[in-house]
Amino acid sequence: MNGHAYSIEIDQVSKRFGHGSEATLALDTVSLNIRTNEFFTLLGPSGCGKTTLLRMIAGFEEPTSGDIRLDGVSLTGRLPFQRPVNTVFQSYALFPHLTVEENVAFGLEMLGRDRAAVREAVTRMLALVKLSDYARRRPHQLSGGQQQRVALARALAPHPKVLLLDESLSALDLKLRKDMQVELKRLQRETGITFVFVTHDQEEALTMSDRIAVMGGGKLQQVGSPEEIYDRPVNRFVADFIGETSFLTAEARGSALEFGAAGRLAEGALGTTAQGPVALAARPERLRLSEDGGLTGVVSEVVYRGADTLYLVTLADGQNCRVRHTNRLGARERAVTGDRVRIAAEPGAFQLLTGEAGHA
Amino acid sequence: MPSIENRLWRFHGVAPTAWLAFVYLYLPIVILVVLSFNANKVATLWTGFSFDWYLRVLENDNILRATRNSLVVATGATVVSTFFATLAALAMASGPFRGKGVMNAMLGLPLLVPEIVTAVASLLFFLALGLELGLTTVLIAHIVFCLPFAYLPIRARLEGLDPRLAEAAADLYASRWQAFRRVTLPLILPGVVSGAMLAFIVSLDDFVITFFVAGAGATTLPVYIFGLIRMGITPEVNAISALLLMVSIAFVVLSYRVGRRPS
Ligand SMILES: Nc1ncnc2c1ncn2[C@@H]1O[C@H](COP(=O)(O)OP(=O)(O)OP(=O)(O)O)[C@@H](O)[C@H]1O
Ligand SMILES: [Mg+2]
Repeated sequence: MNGHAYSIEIDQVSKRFGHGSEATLALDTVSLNIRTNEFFTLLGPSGCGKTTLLRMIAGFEEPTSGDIRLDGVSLTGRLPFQRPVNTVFQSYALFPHLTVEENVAFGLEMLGRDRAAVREAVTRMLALVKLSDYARRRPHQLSGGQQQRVALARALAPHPKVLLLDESLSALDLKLRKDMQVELKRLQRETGITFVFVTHDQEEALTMSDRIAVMGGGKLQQVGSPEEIYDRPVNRFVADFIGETSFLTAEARGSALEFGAAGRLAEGALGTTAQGPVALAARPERLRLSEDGGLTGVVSEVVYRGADTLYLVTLADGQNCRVRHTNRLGARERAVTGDRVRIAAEPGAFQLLTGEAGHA
Repeated sequence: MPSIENRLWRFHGVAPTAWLAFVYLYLPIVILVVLSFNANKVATLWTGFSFDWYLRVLENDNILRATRNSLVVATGATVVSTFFATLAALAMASGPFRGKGVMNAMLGLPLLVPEIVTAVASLLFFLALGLELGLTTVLIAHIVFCLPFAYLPIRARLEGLDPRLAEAAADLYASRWQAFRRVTLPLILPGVVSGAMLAFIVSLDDFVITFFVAGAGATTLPVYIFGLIRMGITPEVNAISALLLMVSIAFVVLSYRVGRRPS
C-alpha cells in the first residue's frame, strides 16, 4: 500500500464523441476523488455519461482532455491490460467457449501466475460467489444471476486495485438483487478493493454507497455521503432525481420563511441564514399536517401507499407541496381531499437550492 | 409439436415436388457412380460389375500427376487465402474507417464477376508481367478467387461476436495477441474452418480459370477430365469423378459438423 489518500483522481476530465456538428460532449470537465477501499457510486439518469467515465478509468476510452490518476500516477496512454483495474460488464461479457473456472482463471493466467496459485484463487473465488458446484459449466448453462456472479468472480480474482461495476445488478430480479447488494458490500469490506459502482437506481445507490456522485447532462452535480445527498441536495437536479421533493419559493427574513398568502414558518425551518427571495426543496416526510402549522392550504389529493400516505396540498399562495405521514395501525386518515389544513416543518426541513433565483 | 403455424405452412403437392427436385439433382450423380463400376468399355452399356476402372485410374500416371497438381494448388490456395481472408475480416471488424463500405463490397465482388472475365483478365495480367504459365500462375489465380469464399464465413462469424469480449480480455490483462489467441480466434474458428473448406472445394473444382492460366505440365484434375471427355466418355472418367465426389462429400460432412459447433 502506498500513502495516497485517493485511489482514483479524476481531474478536469472531458470526453467528446464525434466531430463537428455531430459531436456530443458526454462528459464536461468532471473532477472527482475516490478514496481507497471506498464504495463509490456514480448515479444519474440514462445518457449522463456514467458508462463513459467508467470506460475511461478502465482504459477503453481516452479522455478528450483532463487526466485520470490511480494512486497518484497518471493513467494516460496506458492500455486496459496495463491497468490494475477490472470491470464487471453490464452484459457480463463472459467468454462463451470457456468453462466457469476457466473464465475466472483468465486474468490470473494472463498475469503469468503459476498453476497452483491460479487453482487456489479460482477455488476461493468460486466459493466466495457460491458457485463451486458450477465450475465445469459453460456460461450458457447458467442463469442470469449465476452468470453475473461469475463475472464478479472473474473480475475479483486478479485482486485489482479498483473494481468497476456497470449497472451490474440491473438484470436481476428484486430478491436476487437485494442478496447481491449485501454480497457486494461484504466483498468490498473483506477484499479492501475500491469499488466504483454505476447505477441509475437511487435506492440502490443510497443503501450501498459510502459516497455518491450524482451526474446529470455530462456534469457532476453533487458528491457526498448518502445522507448529504438525500438531506442536503445542492440543486434542483439532485433534489428532483433523488427521492420525493416539493419545490417552493419563499422570502427569507431573519430566521423565518415567508410564503406570502400561505403564511410564514418561524424559527429555523431553513437550514441556512440566507436572506431575501430563495428557491427551496423539502422532503415530504420532513413536513407534517398539524393544527399549529404556520402554512395554510387545501388538500388536493390523498395517496395511500401502504407504509405511508402522501398528501398533496395546494398552499394558499398557489404553490404545491407534498406531505407524508407514516401509517399507524388503526389510525384514522389525517385529512381528505378538500380539507383545509395547516402544515408544520421540522427544523432544517427546507433546503436552499443554489444557482437559482428565488421568485420568478 | 404440431402448432397452428406449421399447419398453415403446409401446402398440397410439396412432397412430390420435393421428390422430383431431388431426383433431378441426384439421379445423374447416382448413374455416374453406378456406371463407374461397369465392366464394359462403352461407358453407357452395363454388362457387369468391376473395380477395373478404379485400378486403372490409380495406375494412370497422368491422372496421378493431375491429382497431385490439384491437391497442391488447392492446399496452397486454401492456406494463403484463408490467412488473408482472416486478416481482412479482422480489419473490417476493427471499427469504422474511411472507405470501409467500399472495401467490404470489393471483397465480395469477385463472386459476382463472371468467371470467364476473371480467367481472361488473369491470363492477360500474367502475360503482361511476363510470367511463364505453370503451377505458380495457377496457384496465384486460385488464391485470388478463393479469397471471397474464405472471407464471407469468417466475416459473418466476427459480426456475431460481442465486441465486449475482446474488451473483457484486455481488461483481464491479455495483450492484443493473447486476446486474439485465447478469445477471438477460438470463437471465430468455426468460421475460419468453414471458409477454408469452401476455398478448398472451390479451388479443387475450378475449371475455367485454371484452363486459361495453366501452362503445359500444370494440368489439374478438372482440366484433365475435360481432356479425356473430348475423346469420348469412358468408365475411367466416371471413376475419377466418383472419387472427386467422395472427397467433396467428406468435406461437406466435415463442414456441417464444424458449423454446428456451439459458439
Ligand atoms: N462511442 C460513442 N460514440 C458516440 N457517442 C457516444 C458513445 N458512447 C457514448 N456516447 C454518448 O455519450 C453520452 C453518455 O453515454 P453513456 O453511455 O456514458 O451514458 P450512461 O450514463 O452510461 O447511460 P445509461 O444509464 O443509459 O447506460 C450519451 O449521449 C451517448 O449517446
Ligand atoms: Mg451506461
